[in-house]
Amino acid sequence: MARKIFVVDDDSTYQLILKHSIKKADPEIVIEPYKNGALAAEKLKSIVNTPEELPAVILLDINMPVMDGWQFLDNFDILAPELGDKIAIYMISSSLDLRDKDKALNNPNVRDYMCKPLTIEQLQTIVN
Amino acid sequence: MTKGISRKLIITYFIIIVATVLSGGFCLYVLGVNLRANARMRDETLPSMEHIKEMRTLMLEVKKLSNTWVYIANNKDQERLRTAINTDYTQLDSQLQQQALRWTSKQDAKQYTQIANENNRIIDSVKKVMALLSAPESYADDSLVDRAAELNTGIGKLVNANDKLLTRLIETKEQRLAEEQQIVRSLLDSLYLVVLFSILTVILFSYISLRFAKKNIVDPLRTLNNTILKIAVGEVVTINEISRADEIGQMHNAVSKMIGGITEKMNFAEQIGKGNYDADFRLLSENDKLGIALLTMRSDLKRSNEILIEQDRRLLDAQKLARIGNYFYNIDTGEFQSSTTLDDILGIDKSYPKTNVKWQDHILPEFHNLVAEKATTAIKERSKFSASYRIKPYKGGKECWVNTIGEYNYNEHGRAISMFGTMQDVTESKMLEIELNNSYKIAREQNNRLLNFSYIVSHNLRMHTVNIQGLLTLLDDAETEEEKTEFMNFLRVSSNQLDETLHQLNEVVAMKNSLNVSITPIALRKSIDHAIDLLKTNIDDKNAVIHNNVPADLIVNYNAGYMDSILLNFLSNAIKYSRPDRQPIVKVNCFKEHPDAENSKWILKISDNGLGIDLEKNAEKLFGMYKTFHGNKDAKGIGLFMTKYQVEAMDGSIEVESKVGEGTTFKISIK
Repeated sequence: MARKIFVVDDDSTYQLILKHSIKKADPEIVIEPYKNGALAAEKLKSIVNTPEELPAVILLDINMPVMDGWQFLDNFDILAPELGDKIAIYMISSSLDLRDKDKALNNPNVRDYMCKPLTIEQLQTIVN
Repeated sequence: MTKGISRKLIITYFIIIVATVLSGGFCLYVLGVNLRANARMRDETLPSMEHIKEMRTLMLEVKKLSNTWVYIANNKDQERLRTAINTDYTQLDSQLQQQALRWTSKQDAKQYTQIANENNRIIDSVKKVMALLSAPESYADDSLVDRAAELNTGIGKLVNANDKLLTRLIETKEQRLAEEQQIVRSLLDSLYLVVLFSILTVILFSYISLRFAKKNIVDPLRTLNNTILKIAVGEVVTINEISRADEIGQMHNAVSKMIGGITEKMNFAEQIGKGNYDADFRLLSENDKLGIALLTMRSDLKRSNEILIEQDRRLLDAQKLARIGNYFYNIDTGEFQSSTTLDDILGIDKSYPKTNVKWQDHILPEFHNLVAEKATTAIKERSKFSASYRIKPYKGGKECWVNTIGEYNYNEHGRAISMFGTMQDVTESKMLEIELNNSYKIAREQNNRLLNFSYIVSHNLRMHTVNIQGLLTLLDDAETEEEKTEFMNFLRVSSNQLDETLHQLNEVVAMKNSLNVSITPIALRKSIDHAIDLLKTNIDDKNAVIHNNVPADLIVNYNAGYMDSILLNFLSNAIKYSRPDRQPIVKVNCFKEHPDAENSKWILKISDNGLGIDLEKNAEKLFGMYKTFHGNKDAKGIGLFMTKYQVEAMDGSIEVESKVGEGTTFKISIK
C-alpha cells in the first residue's frame, strides 16, 4: 500500500514544488494537498476510523487563512490519542522566526520544524 | 516705723497700770487715815471725854456731899465723901492728867490744867470743911459750923464755875471729834470717786485698746488672712496699698506688693504662653528669685523657640521644595489640620473651613473606591495607608496627582478615630510616568510593527523567493515541455506575487514616513456616502445594504485621505466577509463617547452581520500585517494593519466586538 503524505499549505506554487520534489524522492508516495488547516482537519476526522486511509506524514504550513497551522495542531490534539504516534507532523514555514520554531518543537505531536525551501536530504528524512 | 503698734499697746497698758496703782495707793492712804482716826477716837478722845464727864459728875457730887457734911451730916455721906476725895478724885485726876499729855490740842490740855487746879482748890476747901467738922461734937460749936458753912458756900461757887469750864471742854472735845469724823468721811467720799474713776479709766482704756486692736490689728489681719488663703489656693485678689506705717500696714503693703508681683508675673507668664517672648516685668527686688527664674525661663524659651522656628521654617521650606505637606484628620468630627504646603497643594486658603471636612470633597470621584478600599485594608490590617490618586483643588485650578501615606489612631475599642501623615504632589513625576508609559506603549507598538516587518521579510518575501528557487530547480530537472511550461507559468505567478508584496511594503513604508498629515474639517456623512459609491460594484454583487446613520451636519477634524482609507477598508471588509446565506446589512453611526462632555471623542461605529471573527484566537493578529482569516481570494491582509496605523496616527483607537457567525462591530474613536 502506498504511503500517503498530507501537504497543508495555502500556497499553490509551493504545493506544486513539493509535489514534484517528493515524487523525485519517492515516486510511490501519494500526496494529498490541502489549502488550509480546516480542510485537512475535516479530512482527518472523516478517516480517523479507517487507519489504512491515514497519512504517514503531514507537512504543515503555519500561516494560512481560515485555520492556520497552530489551530490545526489544537484540533489535532483532540484526535491525538488515536493518531499521535501514527502520523508524523512536520511544520514547514518560510518564517525564520525562532519563536515559531520553539513553539512548534514544544508541541509533542510535532516531529520537527523545517524552513522552506526543503532540501532533498530533508525530504528524504521525512519520506523515510 | 515711727508709731508701732507695740508702742501704742504699751502706752495703753501703761495708762491702765498707772490708773490702777494710783487708785490702789489712794485706797491704802484713805484706809490708813481712817484707821488712825478710829484708833485715836477709841484710845484717846472717847475715854478722855468719858473721864471729863465723870470728873464733872464727881465734882457735882463732891459739892453736894460737902453741903450735906455741913448741914445734914450722916455717916454714910461722910464716908462717901471721903472715898470720893481720896480715891475717886485722885484716880480720875491722874488718868486725865496722863491723857491730856497725849491730846493733839495743847489748848485743850492747858484748859484742863486750869480746871485741874481749880479742882485741887475745891478739894482742899472740902478737906478743910471735913477737918472743921470732923467730930460730931464740932457741930455744936457754931463758930466751927459758921466757918464750915462759909467754906461750903465758897466750894459751891467754885464747883459751879469749874463746872462751866468742864462743860465747855466737853463741848470742845465733842466738836473736835465731829471734825475728825468729818475728815475721815470726806476722805472715804474721795476714795469712792477715785475707785470709780479708776474702774472707768481701766474700762475705757481696755475698750479703746480692744477697739484699736480690732480695727487696726484683727480686721486688717483677717483681710490679709483671707487674701493669703486665696493666694495659697492660686487665686489672685487685688488689694490696694494703704498709708499705714505700722507693722500691719507694712504687712498689708507687702502682701499687696506681693500680689502685684504675682499678677505681673502671671501676666508675664501668660504673654510667654502666647509666645510673646519680648514680654517683660519689673523685678520686685534683686532677691526676687522667682522673677529671676522666670526671666531665665523666658530667655531659654525664646532661644528654644527661635531654634524651633528655624527648624520649622526649614521643614516648611523642605516641604515646599518637595511639594509635600502633612495633615491630621479627625475621622469623627471632620476636623482637619494641614501644613502650608498641603494647603497649597489642596488649593485651600484661610477662608477654607477646616472643620467637618469630607475627604471625598477633594478626591476625584473615580478614585473614591480606590481610596476607600485602601483605607479599609489599612485599618483591617493595622497597616499604613498608602495611595496614589488625583485631587481637585478646593478653589478650582489644575487637578493634580498626589501620593498620600497615613497612619491611623485607634480608640480603646479598636476603632480608627483619626489619621495623620503626608501628602505629596507628584503630578510632575506622575505626568512623566504617564508620558513614559505612553512612550513605552508607542515604542512597543513600533516594535510590533517592526516585528511585522521582519515577519513580512522572513515570511512573505522569503515565501516567494523560496518558490522561485524551487521552481527553478524543478525547471532544471524538467523532462517534458509541458512540465517546463507549467513551471514557467508558476514562476511568472511567483514573480508577480513578489512584485505585489514589494509594492505593498512600499505603500506601508511610504505611509510610515508621512509624519505630518494635514487635518481638515470633514463632513463625515458625505465621506461615507462617497465610500459607498466607490464600493458600489461589490455592494451590488452581494446585494448588501449599508445604512448611513451619521447626522448630515456632523463635522469632524481629520485627515481626508486617512478617513477615506479607513471607511473603504472597514466597509469593504464588512461586505467581503459577509455570510453567503443572508443579506449583508452594514450600519454606520457616529456619536459622542461622553454625550455631556464638551471635548468628548467621537465614536464611529460600523457593524455588520457577517462571518464574525473568533477574537479569542485572533485578537492579537487582527491588525497584524498579512493576516487573513477567511481564505478569500483577494484578501491581502494589509487593510486592517494600515487602517489601525492611520487611526492611531490621528490619536484614535479601534475597538472590536465580534461573534463568529453573528457579525462584527468596529468602534473607531475620532478625536
